[in-house]
Amino acid sequence: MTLELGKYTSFVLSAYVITIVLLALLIIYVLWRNAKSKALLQDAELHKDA
Amino acid sequence: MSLWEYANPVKFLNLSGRVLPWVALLSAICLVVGLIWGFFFTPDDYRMGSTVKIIYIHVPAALMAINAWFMMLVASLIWLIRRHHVSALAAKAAAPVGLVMTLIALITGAIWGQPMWGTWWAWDPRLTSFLILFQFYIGYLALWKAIENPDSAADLTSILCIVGSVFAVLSRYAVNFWNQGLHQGASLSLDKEKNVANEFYHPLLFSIAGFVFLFLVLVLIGTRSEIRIRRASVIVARKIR
Repeated sequence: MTLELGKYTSFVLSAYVITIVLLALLIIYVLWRNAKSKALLQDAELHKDA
Repeated sequence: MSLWEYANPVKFLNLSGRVLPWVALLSAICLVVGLIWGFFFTPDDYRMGSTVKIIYIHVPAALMAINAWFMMLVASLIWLIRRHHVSALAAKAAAPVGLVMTLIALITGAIWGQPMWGTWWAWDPRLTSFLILFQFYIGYLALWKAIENPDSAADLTSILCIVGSVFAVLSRYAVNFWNQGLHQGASLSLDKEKNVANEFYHPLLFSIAGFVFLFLVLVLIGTRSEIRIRRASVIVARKIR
């Protein structure tokens, strides 16, 4: 597997790196909000009858 | 059994919980196959050189940026007509995903444009309509944040979504409407002769499928989160009363 990107190496690599970083941040945000929503609901149900 | 049954939050949570792992697996497989195939095992284009490899991220991201808005439009219309809360929350959950897809399309497009067109940006019909769509996404999310009453927020964001659909359509068809500007025609078409060459076409299809499944996964998780947050706020409100 040889990869020769020639004179456009920096353009191609930066496009991929930025995309991966943005997608990773999006996935982290969605999972963080998911965990937060579970904790919120659990907390609300726990104190419902208190 | 009617599709509307899944407008019930409990039924939606049950079904989406069962479907999610499989869609996530499909997304991971398609993304890995499409991007590795496209990046490592496809030749350079005779005009674009190695920058052709950017299409495996740019085209799917641009496609999802537009289609996310259309999904939000359908969900918003369902909310306005049938008042199903799950649909309004699904539209809300899709917005950050669409925003990031639009941003990826704009950035990768600029990175591709610099060596190919000699400029990072041009006020071309498609690029401009995409930039406006990006601003609509920001406005849509800001409107949800700004209004405290969730039903009023859903009403107003749904109307904003209908207005923004004009720019989503323009983003998709700007190349066909105005035969000017730097942006070339669509890379994918039902007309085989207008498609990119097969060496690029097949990995691109995998990459697109990966982005579509990723979008579904993130929207399903996001909608589930919004349902829980809404339920928690209702419990807290009842307790205060």
